[in-house]
Amino acid sequence: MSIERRLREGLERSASAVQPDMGRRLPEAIARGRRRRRARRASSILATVAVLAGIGLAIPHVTTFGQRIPHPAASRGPTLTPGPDAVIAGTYTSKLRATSRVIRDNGMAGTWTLRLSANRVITVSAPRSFRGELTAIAFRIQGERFTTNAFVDDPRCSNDVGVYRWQRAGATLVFTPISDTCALRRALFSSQPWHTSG
Amino acid sequence: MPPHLALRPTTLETAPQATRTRRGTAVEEQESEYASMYAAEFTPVSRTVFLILHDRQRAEDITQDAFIQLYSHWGTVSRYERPGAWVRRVAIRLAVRHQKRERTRAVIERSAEPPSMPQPADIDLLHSMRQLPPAQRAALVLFYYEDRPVAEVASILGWTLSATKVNLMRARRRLGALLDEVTEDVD
Repeated sequence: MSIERRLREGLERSASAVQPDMGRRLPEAIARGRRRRRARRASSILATVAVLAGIGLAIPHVTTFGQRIPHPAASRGPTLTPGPDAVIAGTYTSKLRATSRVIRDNGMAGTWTLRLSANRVITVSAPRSFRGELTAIAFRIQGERFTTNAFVDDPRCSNDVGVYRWQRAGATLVFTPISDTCALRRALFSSQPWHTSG
Repeated sequence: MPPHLALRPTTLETAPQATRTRRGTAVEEQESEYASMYAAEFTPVSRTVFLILHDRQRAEDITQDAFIQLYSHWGTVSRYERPGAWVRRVAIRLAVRHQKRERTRAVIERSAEPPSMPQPADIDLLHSMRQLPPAQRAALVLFYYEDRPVAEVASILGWTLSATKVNLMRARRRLGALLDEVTEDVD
């Protein structure tokens, strides 16, 4: 027998031994594929945020460099005016107690930290027990309205945003829901007041 | 304000129920298309991978990894003329890469074991194929088992046409010598 014929026949016979369990494999592929797609989306958002944060950090340096050069026509450098979102910028903590089912079921009880930066990015530190997805988060202030896309990648929050009324009295920040269909976000932002820290 | 940091305008208001339902239906349709592709291609691809690796469980796992990659790129790949070719190529490359790693780890005892499979497999043929480099094995499988033209084998393995012909010829000669069979050089 030629090697070609033996290859064709031998490989065919050997391959027929493979009979995958499709009933088990397909649901597993879909579940892992969904997780992988969410992770890819989250990492691309984070990369974008990192690049933009880098640009945000570089801009003041460029301005400072420009200000160091003596300018005969101007006696003072330009004044940087903070945007409307800077009024809320800072680090806040809140201790969620297991007072509602959504907090208990998602392991949200514990201390949370929100870092609201003037460039509209929120960095969240969650308790270890939290079971949910938190990727890059943004916020926007329009007067007394605070809008955020926190939990945007969590399937339970359906890509919606939450709108809250924000009020700050001294070191305390309070969010009152105006419209938000996401129970996780409502629990996080409005269950307890937030207190400045650091 | 950079646009990426701004909340997307479409998400500033609560999404209407109809929009959510449409999105849900679109995802369901995509998953249904993906499931059809999976049902049609998983077994043939895992068989090809098995012939390269000679390890049934590992072959299925690597094929599964390739199909998971397919899922996460399904929006793009589903528009290709032959999405099956994409996943096959990914699976074969994963298999070849895996086999190279295994060889460097020198798992000689494991490779020397006869493959676990019910008869009537051509054990001698498979045993001899193990002595070939993984990429040559893949070329033989694509050419003789999948019956693909040399140009397609070259495209899948990322080789030139002439490199593919040379590798196929060398693999045949080596197998011919190991199995004491006659070789006819074919283009």
